[in-house]
Amino acid sequence: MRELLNFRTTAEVYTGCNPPNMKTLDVYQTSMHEFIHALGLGHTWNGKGDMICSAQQMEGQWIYTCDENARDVYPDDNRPTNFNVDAIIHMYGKDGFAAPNPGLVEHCFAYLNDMTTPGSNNFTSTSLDRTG
Amino acid sequence: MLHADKVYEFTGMVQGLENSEGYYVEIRDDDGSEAGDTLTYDELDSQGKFSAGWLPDSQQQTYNIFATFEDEFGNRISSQIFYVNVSGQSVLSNETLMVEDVLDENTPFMALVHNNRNKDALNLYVEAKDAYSRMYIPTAVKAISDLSDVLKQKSGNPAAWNFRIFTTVGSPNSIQILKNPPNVRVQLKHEGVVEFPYHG
Repeated sequence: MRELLNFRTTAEVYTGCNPPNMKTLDVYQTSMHEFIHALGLGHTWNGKGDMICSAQQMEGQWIYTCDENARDVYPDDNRPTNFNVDAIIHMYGKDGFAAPNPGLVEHCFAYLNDMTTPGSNNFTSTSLDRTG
Repeated sequence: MLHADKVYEFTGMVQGLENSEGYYVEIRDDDGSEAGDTLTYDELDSQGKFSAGWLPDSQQQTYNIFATFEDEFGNRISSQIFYVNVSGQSVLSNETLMVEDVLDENTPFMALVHNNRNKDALNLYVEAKDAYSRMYIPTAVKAISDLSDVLKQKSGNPAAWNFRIFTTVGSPNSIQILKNPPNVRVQLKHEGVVEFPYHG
């Protein structure tokens, strides 16, 4: 169990290249994006404004995981979406990282089935595929 | 009787193994199928012990629970079956959890992967790897602190979701790492060519 306690992930955040240097907001958003990965969430196939939308290489091509027009458009309030936050809470439970963490799985997919229900706060239900 | 809003822990020990590391114990529900439905699992530690957390599904009223272990030759050993009932509401008050059999790529989804974060608080190192990136340390710390705040607020548990954040320029020293083994290292870098897409 000691190995589990010390399990380590390294996330890299680029602060600039040649050219240009990153804006502070870019570093803020990318830091949160990468840190969410470190907690165990992959990219979201979701709508505009999701904190962990990105591009991903599939079958040799880069594809956007969200609407192409919405790429790199993060929430105006710089917060992860409810989908992101609920997925983290689902994985770890409401007690946070303290063991046990019943939702931890080797690999699965969390679905967002309904983003449009009034009053749903953009999140009404998830389902898990445990076949992965 | 179990309650659907509580986390339960299955603990036990597999005896007689020369080396128990790398083996798993699964906790299953006898649902009538040959193998049963896996509810949770845990890797055995060096002493053969396991401890697996589980959250009952409020949609399912009864479980016939047993633990099962398979050795390297395919021999399977199972415990006796425990009959339990579930009452109460799901812990996720606004959500309904269901089990799907098929990955539907037309429905918005995200992949979840297994990360072993099982202590609170996590030790988090924010490292500026060059002089230029140093100025962004407070920015990265704020992003992570804000995420912590959102998790506290949304989960309704302000005592959880804690990070013990250490900041360094360059690499953390060995004494610091020994005292506080890092769980996550966030490295801020300026050097190198950033290729599309720049955030992974």
